[in-house]
Formats: sequence, structure tokens, C-alpha cells
Amino acid sequence: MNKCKNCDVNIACDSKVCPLCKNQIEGVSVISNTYPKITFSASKYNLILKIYAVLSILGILVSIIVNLLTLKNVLWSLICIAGILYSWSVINHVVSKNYNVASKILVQTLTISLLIIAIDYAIGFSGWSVNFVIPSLTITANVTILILVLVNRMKWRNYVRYQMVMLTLGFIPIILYLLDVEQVMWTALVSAIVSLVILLVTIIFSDRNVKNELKRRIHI
Amino acid sequence: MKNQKEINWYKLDNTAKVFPIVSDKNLSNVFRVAVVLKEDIDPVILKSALEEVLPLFPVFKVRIKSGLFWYYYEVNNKEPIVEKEQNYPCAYIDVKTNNRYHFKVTYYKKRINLDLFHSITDGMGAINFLKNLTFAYIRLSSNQKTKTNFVEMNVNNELPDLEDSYIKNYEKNSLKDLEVRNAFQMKGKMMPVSVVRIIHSYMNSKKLYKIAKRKKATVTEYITALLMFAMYSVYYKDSGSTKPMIIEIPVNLRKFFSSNTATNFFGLMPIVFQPNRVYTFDEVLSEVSRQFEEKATKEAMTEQISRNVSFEKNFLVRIIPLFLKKVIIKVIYFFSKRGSSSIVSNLGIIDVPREYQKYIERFQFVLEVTKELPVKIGVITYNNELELTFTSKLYECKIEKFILDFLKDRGLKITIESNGERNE
Repeated sequence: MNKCKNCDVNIACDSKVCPLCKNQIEGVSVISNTYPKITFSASKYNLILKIYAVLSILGILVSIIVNLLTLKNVLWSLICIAGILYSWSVINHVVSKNYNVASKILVQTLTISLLIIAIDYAIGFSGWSVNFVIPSLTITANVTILILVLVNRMKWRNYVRYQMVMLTLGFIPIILYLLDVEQVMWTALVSAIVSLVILLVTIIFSDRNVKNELKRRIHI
Repeated sequence: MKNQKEINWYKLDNTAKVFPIVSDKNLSNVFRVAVVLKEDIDPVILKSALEEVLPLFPVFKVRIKSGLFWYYYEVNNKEPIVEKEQNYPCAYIDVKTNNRYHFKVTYYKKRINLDLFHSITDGMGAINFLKNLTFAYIRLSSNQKTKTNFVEMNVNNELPDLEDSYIKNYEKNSLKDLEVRNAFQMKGKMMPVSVVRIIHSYMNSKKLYKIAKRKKATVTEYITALLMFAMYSVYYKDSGSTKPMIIEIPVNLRKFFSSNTATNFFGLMPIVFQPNRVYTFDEVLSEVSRQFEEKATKEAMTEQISRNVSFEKNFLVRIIPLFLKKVIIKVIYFFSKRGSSSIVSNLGIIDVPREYQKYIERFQFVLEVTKELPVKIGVITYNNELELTFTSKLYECKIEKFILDFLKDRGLKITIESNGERNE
């Protein structure tokens, strides 16, 4: 046992100075440390992300400035900005191993939809984004999730809430049609029908586990 | 289709609901209880002990899931991890790298650590788990046929008590207005995120008990008053602050309400001190004792419980989706960070069956600190030795020195042990 004469306390670890008063300890016995030395290693991944963040901000600023200085009536910088922001959703969500496939499909549907709308808007908004691309995206996503669920029934519990949200999104084109934002009826109709059919199939063929899962997910 | 067995799920108890929302690297809400044995820990045996004990504690064997309105728990079937201590005590537990468990069992030399996220359970629940883990380890490593002596928290041996005692014991319409005040907070050069300095101090518990009793106080009151006095002398006196010093004391509510729950059931008792003149220690102590007597009562605790539960049961609160709740609660918590100056938590005297006593050196209890509450005290007593642990983010060591000098001057022989942080 070592001792700090200044503080008049015994020291039961390997400190060369007293933890309380920082004076040298007069130590006769060799005592080992009781805590490991902690070292943090900086993650290289974080550095790359930080560099990309700076480049993204620069890219956005440069494209806005050049756009305003040159072709002012065509908002092409919007496409650059939307593209850069979309790339971040890919980095944070798709590449990360912390999210399951169904959530990635859902988020991608949303972000790609926003990207497509931005592009359409930038080149004059002829409406192809909401008329064709978005209904196609929702149909594809819903069918994909359905296939996922059928192929891997065990993971259904993890997918169910994303499936529910995605099915709801499948009804958005028809709502947009009724609000006159979308002009083409058959794409919106097909999207809504696909959602409805999958929803009915899910409810009819769902067993007790499914109902249990939903109960716990939405308990208040 | 293989797995048709229904997986159990549990709602989080009233205090647990908040922790997953507000916790991150800066506020981990993790505390540590540890046991020091007399020989180096064998990790293989420790892993076996953990695998033996964990299924008996369903409160620990969980993973958190997001519902639409609240978080909830499900059984965690992954393997628990036992590894060598590689991080500071009470560091944020990233469940993604921890097989989704909210606790970490680590070891270093002769010590077994249990770092536990507060949404699982409180200090009493943690100590119970640690004791059982330790006993299992000792049994396995000494190969003795010692009588299985599990300390149960639940009365019914079959089902563990998962009662949310907060909900069971709240009163519906007793909502007095909550006085919100900002507390004085210690300032100074602080260590980076998750880096802390730990100083354990050991002293004779009977002697300290006598010293406190002479002043008609309990040990907890004495230590609280001492911290208050230290804060006052070292930081408050010359700061010119008009805010009160507030030390929060966690109180085990199980004895007040005859509960035996394995989940959280504690209250926070605020001890307030706003000196407008110079006080002696004895005056501080008598004021602290007076507040303990006034606030450590069933009525005061019922009021606190009722307030918290009423908030949780409020229909408007329940109906808000989880992602919105997270934002709102984070904001509320941000402001509540200024509500106290420090915390003193005493887990009391730990009893151990005689056949295990010769293997156990001591227990330790370490709290987590933040920028706003940079110094806290955890107290635990075993085998007539009281262990008072300071956790600090401040480079300065003045509070610890003041308190230990004070105790030493009253005749206590003190031994200290540090984690070596910023000691050079």
C-alpha cells in the first residue's frame, strides 16, 4: 500500500502522483493498476464522411451560384442539389447495416420519388414524374416487399410496419389524381389496386403472430 | 415454417420510457455496479455464469423495439457478450454492437463490471443481478457444491415480478404544480465526452455511521450534506450565483409501497440549499436532515409518481407517434438538465451469504456524469467497508479532496483507488 503524505490517505493503485493533490507519492510497494488504459482510435470512415460532407456543401453552393450567373431560367442546380441530397440518403440508410431490407425499400421509394419530382420540376414540370414514375415506384416497392415476405416468412414480423406504410403510400397516386395533380388515371388506379389486393391478402392470410405483432407495435 | 412460438413482450415502466429517447454519447443513462474478487477473473467461467443466470432475469434478457407510440421490450435470444473492460465506466451502450442487450458484463483483473442502461432497472435490480452472477461465477470456478442461494426480488418463485409499480401506486388526481427551477452547476475545464476520472474511497462504515449518528444524521444525509458543503466552499461561495444548489437523492420506493418489482421503482428527492450567509457544516447538516425527513415520505413520493404517471397516461401524450414524442421529450429533457447540481446515490449495505463471503473483496457503485452535473457520488457498503466513489468530468479534483480531507480530519482512515485518468 502506498501513501500520500500530503493528504494522509492510502493509495491502492499504481498512480505515481496522488490523484487528489498531484504530489509525488512515496511508494515502497509496487501496486498494479486496477483500470485499463483506454485509447480511442479515430474511425477512418468518419473522416471520409466528413470530407464528403464538405464536398457536398461546396457542390451545392457552386451549382447554385453558377446557375444564377448563367442559365437563370432553367433551375438545373436543383437537379444537382437533389442528387447530392439523395446520395446522402443512400449513404446513411442503404449502405448502413443497421436497417433491414424493407425499411431500405421504403426509404428509397420516398427519396427517389422526391429526386424525380425535383428533376421534373427543374425542367419545367411536364408531370411525367407524378403520372408515371411514382406509381411505378409504389407498385414495384409493394410487390418487392410482398416477394420478400413470401420468400422469408420468418422475417415478416420485422417487415410488417414498413409493409403497412408502403401499402398506404400506394394509395397516394390516386389521391393526387383526385386532387388533379396527377393527370393519368390508369397508373394511379393500378397502384391503388395493387396496394388493396396485397393488403387484403395480408389480412386474410395473417395468423395470430401477425396480429400479435401489430398489437404490440401500436400499443398506446 | 419453424418459429411459431409467440415471443413475449413487455411495456417499459414509467421511468424507463424516457431513457431510450434521451440517451446518447453525452448522456448515456448507464450506471455501473461492480464486484472485486480475490483472484483474477476467468472470462470463460464468467461467460458460463452469465449464460446460467441471464435466463432467470427476464428483465435483463430483452431487446428494445419501436412501436408506433412507445418503445417496448421483446425477449432477446442472442448470445450475451463478455469481454475485457475496454472503455470508461458508464459509457454509452450501443446495442447494435452488443447483440442488442442493454447491459455490458466486462472484467478487468479481479473485477467484474456490470454496466447497465437505466431503462432495464434501477440500482436494487442491478445489484441483485450482479450478486447472482457473482455467486454463479464463484460456484463454477471453485467447483464447490454450495447450496444454491438465489436472492429473489420477486415473492412468487415462478414468475418474476414485472409489475410497473409506478402505475400501481399512483393517485389519479393529485397534481400539484411542479416548481421548476434552475440549479447552480459546477463549472471548470472538462474532460472530453465519455472520459471520466473515477476515485474510489474506502473507509470503515461503522465509524462513519457513528460520526453521523453523533450529529443525529444517517450516513446518506451526512454524505449529502458534505457534498453540499464542499460544493459551497469550493465553487458556490465565490461564484456570486443566485441559483440554489440542488442535490438529488434516488430513493428506493419498494419499502414505501411494499413492492417487489424487478423493474425500476425509485423516486428522486431534491435537497435544496441556497445560502445567503456563511454556514457551518453542522448547520448544513441539520438543514439537509430536515429536508430528508420532510421529503422522504410516502406522500411526497406518491405525488412525484402521480405526476409522472399522469403525464404518461395523458391521452394526448399517448396519441402522439413515437417519432414526434422523441423530439418533444428531448426538448423537455434539455431544459431539465439544469434542474440539479449533483446526485448522491446510496445502495446501502450489501448482504452476502456466508459461503460466498470469503471470495468477495468488495462491491463498487459508479454513476455517470455529464457536463451539467460533472461530479457525482455513488455509495455502497459491504463487510463493514463503505465505498464512496466519485465520478468526475472536471480536471480539478477539489470536491474529492475537500470531502476526503474532511472525513480524514474526523478520524476516518481512508484508502483511495483511481482509474488513473488525468492524474499526470
